[in-house]
Amino acid sequence: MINHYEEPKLNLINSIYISLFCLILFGFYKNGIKIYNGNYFLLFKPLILTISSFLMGYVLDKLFKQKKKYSLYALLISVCMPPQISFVIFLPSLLIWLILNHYLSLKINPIICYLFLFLIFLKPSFFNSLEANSVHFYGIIDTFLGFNVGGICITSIIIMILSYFYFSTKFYYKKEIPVIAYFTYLISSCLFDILTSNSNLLINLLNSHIFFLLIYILPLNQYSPIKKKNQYLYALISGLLIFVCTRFYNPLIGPFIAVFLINLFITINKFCRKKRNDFSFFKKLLK
Amino acid sequence: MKKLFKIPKNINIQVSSHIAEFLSPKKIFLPFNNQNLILQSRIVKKGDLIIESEFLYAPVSGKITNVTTINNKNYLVIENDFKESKKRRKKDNDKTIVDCAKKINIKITHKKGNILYYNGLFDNPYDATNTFYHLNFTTEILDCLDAIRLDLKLISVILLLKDSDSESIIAFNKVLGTYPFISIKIMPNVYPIANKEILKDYIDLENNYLFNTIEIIELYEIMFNQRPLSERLITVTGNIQKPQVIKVKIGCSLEEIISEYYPNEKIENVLENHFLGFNTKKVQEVIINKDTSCILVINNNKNQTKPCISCGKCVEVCPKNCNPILNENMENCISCYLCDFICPSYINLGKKGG
Ligand code: SF4
Ligand code: SF4
Repeated sequence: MINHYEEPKLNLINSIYISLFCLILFGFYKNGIKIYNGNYFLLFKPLILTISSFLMGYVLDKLFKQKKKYSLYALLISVCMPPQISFVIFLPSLLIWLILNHYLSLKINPIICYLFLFLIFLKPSFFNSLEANSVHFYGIIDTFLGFNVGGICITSIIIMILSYFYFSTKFYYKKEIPVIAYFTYLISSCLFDILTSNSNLLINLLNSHIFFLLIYILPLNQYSPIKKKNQYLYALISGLLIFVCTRFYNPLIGPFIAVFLINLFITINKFCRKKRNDFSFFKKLLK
Repeated sequence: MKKLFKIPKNINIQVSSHIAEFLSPKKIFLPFNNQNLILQSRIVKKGDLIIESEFLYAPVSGKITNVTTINNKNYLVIENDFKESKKRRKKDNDKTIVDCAKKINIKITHKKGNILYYNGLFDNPYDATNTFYHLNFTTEILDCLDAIRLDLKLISVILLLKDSDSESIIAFNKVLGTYPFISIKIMPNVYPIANKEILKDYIDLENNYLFNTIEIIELYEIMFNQRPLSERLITVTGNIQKPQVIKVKIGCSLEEIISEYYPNEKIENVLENHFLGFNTKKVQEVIINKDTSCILVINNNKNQTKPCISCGKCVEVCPKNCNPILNENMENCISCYLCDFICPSYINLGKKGG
């Protein structure tokens, strides 16, 4: 189109799909091939989980005439699931949640909301079958590459960082949010560790769940602020909340709670603003 | 000063280097505001002043036949009798620039500064009109600027040209040696720098004079030829076979131009002057006026509006710090339609301010 900006090459959503595909392949290696013990279902579990969720989202997209909306949501949710998740719990609950979300048109980010409810109520362990049955110690490099404890396909920090650089080239990606949020988290962690003489700083900083949430969930356009200044504030508060929740609650579930809280705050804020506007409209009308 | 946006040109359109001429339209439409106008079926000569209060001159000779309304605007219709003649005269030395400008409704108020800026910038990357004026009327533009400089007793004239407009820069540079008081200032290729509201962040417009291309051409006509501007160049481009610059009569209808030059093409929607946004017009609604510079044919303007995804780009790119989606600060909007251009949901945002 002459009179409209066209994003060169792949658009943001397709880039997210490509990046998720790489993460899923790594998840398949770490939580499938590496723990293979003759059970084919376990071997292909990461693939079956993500592909079935994606297909479910795809069918919903077709049904509700949406463009890649629910398939992306379902995929983003499925990659965060604990490796030992039961399909019987996950798939029906996801289906119900997405349908509910469609009909109730909830204003809160459905991805983080589902993950929050799921993790808070079930409190699952993020160990895969191998990690659960033996004592494991992952070094810094292992953690960075993705051989650490975490969601089924979101352990590889290096893939996520590379994806961030790729997304940053996209026009509609809010690239400042992850950087500001991460630096806030980093600075508060450093200060805290210096004050408490904690020596686990690097391991705490290389938390794959934090990277995933910062790069894929926080900058989601629909659920983040519009104005630049508000985006910076949003990132700053997210970084602080993530720090508080990871250090004082749980390093793996904490980041999800933090991001849920900031999303809840944004939703309430939007709601209040709308109400205030409605109110001022009535005031004008009365005048 | 806000960092301005560099517009990427989606499609490269080559405009024919030859200027086509369409100077004999059957009908001319002249806009007027006077509600109490009593229409007499009168014969006019080219250059005749028809309505004095509105500085309405006849661009052709012919007969005023009726009044018509297009797009809620009233137009006098002149039927061309194709009998116009051209008389060239020397500069009217008795008249000052201020007197001449008054005749064509250009107000020149006294300013403290000593510089005359010539706004040779254009924001529409598909619009070749300015460049064609610079290439074909180089000495006329410089003569006129120099005459204005002398009349207003100014020290220098500065031509503002875009760094991407290399053809104009070369054309002026070739002849600038004979105009010692005229120099060129290269401006960055950012959008919407040609707009006065934005340009004032780059140069001191408060205290200095600024004229744009069509004003200078119009002043040249009235100062050196003692006649009002009756024709101008326009670029017809976009989704058409042969984009070109055409010399047309002011007041002729676009429909007539299209039927002359593009009889076999199905052209429905066009953007007049703008190249951004969705405020297209039907071909039948467009009458060429003094300020019409570019007609961009848009044939794939399907309504694809989707709900806002809160990407914030409309707010980020707005040169006047407006927030078109929350309707904040919209009194500053300059209708540049950058927000429309950038919105991934194809929302018509500029309309609010425009
Ligand atoms: S709000 Fe007005 S000034 Fe701002 S980008 Fe849109 S049209 Fe231009
Ligand atoms: S550019 Fe369009 S989609 Fe993005 S915030 Fe503005 S109106 Fe919404």
